Amino acid sequence: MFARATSLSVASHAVHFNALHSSNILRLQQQISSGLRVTRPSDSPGEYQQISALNSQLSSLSSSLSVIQSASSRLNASVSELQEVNRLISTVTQLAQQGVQSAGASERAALATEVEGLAEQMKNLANSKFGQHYLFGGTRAGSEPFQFGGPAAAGQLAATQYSGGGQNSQSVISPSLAVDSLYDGSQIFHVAGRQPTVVISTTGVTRGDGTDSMTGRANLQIRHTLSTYAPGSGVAAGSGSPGGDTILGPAGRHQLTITDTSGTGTAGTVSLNGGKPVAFDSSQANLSVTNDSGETVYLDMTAITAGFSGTVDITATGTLSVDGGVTTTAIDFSGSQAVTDGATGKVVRLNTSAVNRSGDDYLEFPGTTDIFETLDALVRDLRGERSLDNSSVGDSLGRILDRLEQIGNQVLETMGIQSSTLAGLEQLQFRNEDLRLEFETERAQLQATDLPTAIIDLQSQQLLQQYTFSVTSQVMSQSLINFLS
Amino acid sequence: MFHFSTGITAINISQFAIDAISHNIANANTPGFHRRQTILQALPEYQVNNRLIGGGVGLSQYRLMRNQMLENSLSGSIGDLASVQQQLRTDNRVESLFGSGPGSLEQLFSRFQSTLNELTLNSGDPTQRRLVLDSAVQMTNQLRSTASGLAQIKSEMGRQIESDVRSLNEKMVELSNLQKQLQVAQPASSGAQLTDRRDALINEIAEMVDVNRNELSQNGFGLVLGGGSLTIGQEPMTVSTKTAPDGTISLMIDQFEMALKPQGGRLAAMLDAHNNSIGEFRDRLNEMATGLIQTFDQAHAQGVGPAGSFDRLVSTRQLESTSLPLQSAGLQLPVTAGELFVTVTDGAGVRRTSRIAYDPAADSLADIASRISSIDGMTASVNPANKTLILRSMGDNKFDFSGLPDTVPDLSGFTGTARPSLSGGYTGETNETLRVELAGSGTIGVTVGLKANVYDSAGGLVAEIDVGKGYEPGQPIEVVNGIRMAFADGTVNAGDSFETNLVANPDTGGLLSGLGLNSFFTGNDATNIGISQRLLDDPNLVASGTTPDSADATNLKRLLQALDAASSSGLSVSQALTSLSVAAGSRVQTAAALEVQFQSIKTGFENERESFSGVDLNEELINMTRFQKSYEAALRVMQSVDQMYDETIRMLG
Repeated sequence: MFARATSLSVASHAVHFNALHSSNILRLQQQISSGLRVTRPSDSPGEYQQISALNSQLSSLSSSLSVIQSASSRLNASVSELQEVNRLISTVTQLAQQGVQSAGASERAALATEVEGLAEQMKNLANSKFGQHYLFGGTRAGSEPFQFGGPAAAGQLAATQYSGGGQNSQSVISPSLAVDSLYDGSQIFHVAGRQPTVVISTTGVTRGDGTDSMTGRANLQIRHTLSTYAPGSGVAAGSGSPGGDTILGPAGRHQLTITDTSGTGTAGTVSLNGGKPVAFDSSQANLSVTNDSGETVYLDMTAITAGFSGTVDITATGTLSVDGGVTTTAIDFSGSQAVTDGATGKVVRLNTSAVNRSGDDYLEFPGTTDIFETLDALVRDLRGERSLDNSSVGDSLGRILDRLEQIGNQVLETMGIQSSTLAGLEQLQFRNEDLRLEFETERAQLQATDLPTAIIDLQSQQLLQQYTFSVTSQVMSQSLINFLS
Repeated sequence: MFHFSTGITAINISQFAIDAISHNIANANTPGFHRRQTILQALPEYQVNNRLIGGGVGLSQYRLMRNQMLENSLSGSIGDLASVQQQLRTDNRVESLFGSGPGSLEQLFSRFQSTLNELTLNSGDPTQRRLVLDSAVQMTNQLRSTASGLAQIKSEMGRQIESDVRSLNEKMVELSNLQKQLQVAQPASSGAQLTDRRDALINEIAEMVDVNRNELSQNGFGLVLGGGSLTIGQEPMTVSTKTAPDGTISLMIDQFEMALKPQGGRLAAMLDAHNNSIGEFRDRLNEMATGLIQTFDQAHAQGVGPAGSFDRLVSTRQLESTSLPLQSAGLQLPVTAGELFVTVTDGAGVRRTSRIAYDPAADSLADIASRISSIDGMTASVNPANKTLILRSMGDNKFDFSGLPDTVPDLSGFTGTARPSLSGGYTGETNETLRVELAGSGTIGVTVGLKANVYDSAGGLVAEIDVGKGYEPGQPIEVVNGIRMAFADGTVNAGDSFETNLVANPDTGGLLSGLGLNSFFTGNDATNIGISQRLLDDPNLVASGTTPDSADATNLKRLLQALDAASSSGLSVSQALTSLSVAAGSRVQTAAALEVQFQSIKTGFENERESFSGVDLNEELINMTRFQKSYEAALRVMQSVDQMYDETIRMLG
């Protein structure tokens, strides 16, 4: 059987194939013009899914790279600043060593001035800023992390207040990866490493038993409050005794030797701890007696027992204070007595069992100062503010050098961690850039138009359309009418 | 004797045939036209002088060239094509809603993710915070727009179904009338023209609903619609739409009150789109959006921004009742039984994290308020008007849901003078209640061998800390998983103990997102998703950290993890969006391929029908020439007879 070809069939074929070719030409025109073969899911759902996944990964990579670059910049800046900190510590160490070897006050004063300048640089470095952030402010990097003030009390070091965050601030590279990019400065410029408390004493106070919580330095004020005398002699504390006596100690540590030369108690001699006798008479209510050691007591000699000659045990009580007398603690002459700084609530434990006189002692808490306090301590020692002898100054400078080394090591360690992070970030950046290139290539292969193929296809479709027109024209022009006359 | 009559029959028939050919040629391009064929037959012979003589030619049949099977197949292919074309139009619109490239949901979500990621670099920067919010607003706008677009397509589909049903009814009435006329029409007269019209009408109906002809039943003709659900004879049948409470549209046959279930034609595609496919896309989009809202809000609720902790919070997801258990009170997001940790910080910075348990099957909003009110420094109430929960801190306290460890634990079981404190951040993966108990009596930092034992929730010893001689009072010591503990100077007694909560997940059952406390989003699905107005008013409320510190990006990491986490059907938000686009694209691709296939099938049937019923002009011209010659020959016969009669008369005359 053969098909009858009608004019409607011919026209229908022509319309159908023209539409088909035109549609293909339109699609190819779009692909060639845009350069993209897959522009919407229906172009190729499978490939679109891959392209979409690649787009998502590329977007994540782009964000990650942005974060990596910013975090790297911060860490680079941080490492650079810490290198400068380390250089300053080295310089200060050299100056401190010079201070140890120097014997002249003027030379040390010059060194102190130099250290002061370096300390200012150190403060600036600690508060250095990168962009909007303070590099050593941790999670509170929006404001200056370190504030510097003067000493809270005499003998204490210039206080450093850290108001930065207690945690490192992290930059999130991906939901599963974050790196520290802004460090907690309190962990860089300070390192825990408390060592036994040093007491530079003239009063008999020594380090107590237990672990202290006070930091830096402090002056220990040991003050006399009351002297009492064993009964029998008739001697009593003079009116100047509370503020004037310099002796301290439980009963028997200090003794008076009284000799009543008059036999009636109206005149005689009195000496302190075997010192040079001092003449008295019964009119003296505030007799000052000082021995060769410089110990002084004020005595009321108005009621000496007639005929008394002998020794009298003295009980001299006093107080301790580490905050300039704001808070005082009664001396209990024990092996370990806690004294509290009223301003901070921190405590030092002292052995007061051998305390025998009042005075001002110096306390040091090695391993507790930050770099700024350490530099302040150095300046003060070089200036001789505590009037220590050369040996004590040398010892103190030695402790400062130890502390500088500890903090320097801490800075180096932080630099090492940051450098290591930077190296990791650099590798990650390279890997992400490689991945980005790989993904972009893969996306291009999936999405981009294969231009030579598309152009050949276009020519092919155009040719087919021309054939469609041509054959339709020929078929439709072929008619019996042309042959009928 | 010669007769003119034989010749006259030939002339008449030739004239008739040429008229038929003329009609065929005139309708050569008329759609649905069936060519007419003139079939001749010899007239009966009659006897003349014992011989039989032919009587000429007559019309045997005036035939309509029509093949029932081809007509039926063509109608079927028209219905299939119309159905797939309608599906393609709908799917194209759905695909364009999900789109691709700039402005698409995928791209906007990606941008939101990127801005959030980059905020970790400058979490305190108001401009960067505003960028995050702007990108979130664009994403939520697009989500709502997509959901609204789907609803609009569905709505338009419903109106189009109504319109097509009206048109179908008109055509079925016309078909019924035609059928009645065909019963009485003569095939050689108006019957053919009515048949042409009927075929054209059936094909028009086939574009709307699948049809199957049965020309042997129902007095010679019947039409089966909707896969057999409706048979049309001479009586008109009409269809109407019925909308179920869930919005589903079905077609009902008015005369029988039974459903018409189209298997082909536009109505089948539109009903499927309206009742099924658009709903599936909407459901998947909503499922994705709900997952995003819940996961992200849950993470957001547990953080704070630079603006710090709160003195007042009002839940944003309203319930229907404050006294019914949450489960029955119209929760917009799922909540399961769990525990919530509320962290209260006083003006001096002393922080305490307290735990409350909840069960949505048993606890009402009022119960939750009551439990929160039992926490020191907190008060909670319900607003009976809008069924929301209002949380307030008392005095100079502030609260949040960060779950950060206590700075000073509850020391009611502590008799010594040394005050313990906690610091650091818990890095464990499960919530724990840590119990610390002193193993001996003495002075912190002084007594030799003074130990503090640390136990976990199960009672296991996790750490033994020496706080005696050698320990610096106040110096924090790492205890467990990032938690540091310090004891101030003072004394402790054997058996002194305290407990503290270590929180990995401050809200284990999703209460915060369920109620909308400190949430980032508003709404609960793609149709109503938005950004919290309080955040838009103050970007510093975007919970980037767990503390107000400007460079604390702790919570941003959690938020990014939330975006990466499964939101629906095990897919991340990004994957779910791609999956939706691909599903829409696949439907378009399948429909487009089917359209080509069905178009090809229809063209094939049209060609076959044309081959049988169509008009071939050359064939008609040949036939015309044939009948023209036949007419000329008949005239010649008439002329010969006339000459013979003339000759005979002249001989007689």
